[in-house]
Amino acid sequence: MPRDVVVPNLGLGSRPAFLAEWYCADGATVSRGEPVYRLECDFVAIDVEAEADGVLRHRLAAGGIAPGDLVALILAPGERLPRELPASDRIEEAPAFAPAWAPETAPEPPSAASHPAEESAAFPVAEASTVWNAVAPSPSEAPFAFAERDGCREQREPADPTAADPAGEAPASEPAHVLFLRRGAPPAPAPLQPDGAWDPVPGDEVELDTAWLAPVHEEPNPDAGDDGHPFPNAASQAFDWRRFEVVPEAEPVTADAGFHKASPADLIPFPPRAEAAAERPDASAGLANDAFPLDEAGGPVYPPVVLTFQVTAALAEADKLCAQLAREWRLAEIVPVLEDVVMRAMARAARESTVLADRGTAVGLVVVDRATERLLVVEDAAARPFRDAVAALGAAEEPGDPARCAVTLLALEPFGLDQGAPPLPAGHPLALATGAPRDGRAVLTLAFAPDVIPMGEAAWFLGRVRELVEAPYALLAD
Amino acid sequence: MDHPSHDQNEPSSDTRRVHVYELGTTGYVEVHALQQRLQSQRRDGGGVDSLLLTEHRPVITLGRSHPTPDLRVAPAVVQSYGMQIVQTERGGDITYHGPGQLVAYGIVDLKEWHCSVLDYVAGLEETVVGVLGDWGIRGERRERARGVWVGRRKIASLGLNVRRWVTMHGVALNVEPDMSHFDLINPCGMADVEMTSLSHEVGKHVPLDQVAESFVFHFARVFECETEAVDLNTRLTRVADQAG
Repeated sequence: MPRDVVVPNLGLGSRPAFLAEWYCADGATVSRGEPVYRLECDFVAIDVEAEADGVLRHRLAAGGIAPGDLVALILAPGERLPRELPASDRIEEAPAFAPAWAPETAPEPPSAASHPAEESAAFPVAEASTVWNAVAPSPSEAPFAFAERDGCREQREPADPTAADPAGEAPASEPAHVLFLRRGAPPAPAPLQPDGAWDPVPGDEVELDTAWLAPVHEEPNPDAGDDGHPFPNAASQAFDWRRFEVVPEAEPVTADAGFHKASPADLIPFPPRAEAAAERPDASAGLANDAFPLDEAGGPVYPPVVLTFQVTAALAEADKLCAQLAREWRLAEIVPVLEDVVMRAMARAARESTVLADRGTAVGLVVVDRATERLLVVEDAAARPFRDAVAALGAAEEPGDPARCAVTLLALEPFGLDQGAPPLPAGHPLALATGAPRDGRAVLTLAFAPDVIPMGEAAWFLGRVRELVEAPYALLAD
Repeated sequence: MDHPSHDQNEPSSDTRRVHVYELGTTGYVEVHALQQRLQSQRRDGGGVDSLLLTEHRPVITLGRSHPTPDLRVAPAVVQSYGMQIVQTERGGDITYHGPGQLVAYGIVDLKEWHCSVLDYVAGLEETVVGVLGDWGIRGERRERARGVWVGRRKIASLGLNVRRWVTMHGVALNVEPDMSHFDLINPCGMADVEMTSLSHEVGKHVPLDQVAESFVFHFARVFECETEAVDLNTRLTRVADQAG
C-alpha cells in the first residue's frame, strides 16, 4: 500500500506556503525519518520527513501548496502505483531525454533497467499503455517518434499493430499519449502587415521584422575559398572591397588642401528666418503626408520614441533552478529554460510595479527560432503556479490575448546573439530581450517607450528582473 | 495576542519546561552546531526543550532559499570586516548578527506543546513585544512582514527551521549593536527596510543581560512554561566527572 506524503497541517492558516525544494529526487529510495522536501512559509522553513521506507515518487513539483495536498507517494520495494489515480494525475514515464544543458549530476530518468518492472508501469498514460508494458521493448529501441503539430514538437508513442488492445479503449492508429516540447519548428507564420504595424489577435502568429539580422552578403562570392568562406584565401586574387560597397570611392585629399572649404555655390542656401517659418507648415505637412501615416483627425502619427537599458545577469542560480525543476517535471516532459525563469521574473516585477500593475500581469513570450518566429502568450503568469505557466508556454494550446500583455520577452539565444534590442510592439510599455548565455552570464536588454512608462520605472523593472533571475528561488513563492 | 493553544485539562506532568542556557558571546558556527545537536536529540524523543540566549561575534547568515547574499556592498568589503557569511537551514533571507544583539534560539517540540508553527512564531514576536514594553517602547507585529517593528523601523528579526515538529533558530533583538553593520546588507532581502535598536529607541545604554532576563520572563509568560536556568559551568563539571 503506497504511503501518502501530504503537506502537514502546521497551523499556518491561510498564509501562502510553497514547496521550496525536493531533497530527494523522484524515484529515489528513502528511509523513514529522512527529510524529503522543504516547505516554506514566511520566515519558517520546515523539513518534512519520510514516514516510511521505500521509493519516493513525486506527485507535485516545487511551487505553491496547501495543507493536505498530496505531494508524493512512498512505495514499498516491488510495489506498483495504484491505478485509481485520477486521470489528470496520470503521468507518462519520461523517455531517455537529456537536454544538452542538463548537468551531469542530474539523475537518469527512471527506466525499466534501473527500476523494477512494476515501477516503470507505475504511471500509465492511458489504458493502451498496458499494451506498452506488455510489449516491453528493450531500452535501446526508440520508443517515441517525433512529429510536428501546431509548431510544437510532438512526441508520439508509436502505435504497435501487433499489440493487442484488450480494453479496446484506444484505437491503434491514435497515439496513446502526446507530449510537447518547446522550441519546435512551427508552421509558416502569417506575413507582416503592409504598414508594419504589430496588431496580433488571439490565435494568430506574428512575424517579427528580422531584416536587421539578415546576412550582409548574400550573393555567392566567386572569390570564395574552397571552404565556402566568403573571403578569398591567400592564394587567390587581390581582395576587391568594392564588391562589398563598404567605403565609396573618394577623392584623395592633398596636403595643400587644408580644411575643406566649400565654395558658396556648393552650399544649400539657408533661408532667412521669416522665410523658414513660412515654409515650415508646408514642409511639415509634406513630411507627414509622405512619411507618416495619418490618424483619424488627419494629423501625422510619428513613430514612438524607444529607449533601451541593458544589464548583465549572473545565471548560476537560475541554471540550478532549471536543472532542479527539469528533474522534478521530468514525468510531464516539461523542461524549463532560462527564458521561463526570466518570464516568471518579469511577471513578478510587472505585478510589483505601480505603473504596470493595472495593465495586467500577462507576459508574451516570443520564442524565436532561427527560421521563423512565434508568439506565445501566458496570461496571469505570476498568479498561476510556475509549472503551469511553463507548460502553457510549451503547449500553446490557449494562445491568450497579447493585448493583455504588460510586457514582452524575446529570446535571442536561437540566433546566437549575445545582446540586442527587442522590437517594442505598438502600445506596449516594455519589451525585454535575453541574450545567449556566455560564461554563466546573459545580457538583458530592455526597450521601453518613455511616453508610456517613466524612465525610472523602466530602470527599476530591469533591475528587479535581474535581481529575481539571480535569486530565482523567490519566484517559487508565487 | 491569543496565547498559543494550550490544553488546560492536560495533566500537570505535561507542564512545559524549558532549560535556558545563557551562552554569553559566541561564534555563530559553534552555536549552530549546538542547535543542530539539541534538535536532533529532541527529534529522537530525548533531550529537553531549550532556549539558548547569546550574542554572536559579527556574522552574516543566509536563509535556505536565499543562497546568494543580498549585500549592499562588494563581498570584499564584508570580508574586510572579518565577517563570515554562513548558509543556514532556517527560513527567511539574509540577516546580520553581532555583539549587542540578543539572539534567542528555541529548540522546542511543538507537538508536545500542542502549539502550531504559526502560534510559536507569533509567541516569539509577542515575547519581544513584552521585552520592549519593559523599556517603555511599543513594539508591533505585522501579519505581512514578520519580525517586530517600532513604527516603520524593524527592531527584531525572525527565522525558523522546523523538523519533525522540533524547532531551531529563533529571533534576534537589536539591543545595542553596531548599526553600521546592517548597512552591509539588505536586511531580510528588503532594500528599503530601516533597522533600529532598543538603545536607540530608549535613548540610553541598555545592558544586554537585563534584556536577556526580561526575554526569559516574557517567554515563560507568553508560552505558559516553566524555565530553568542551566549553569553551564556546573553542567560542564558534571559532564567531565561522568566522563572521568
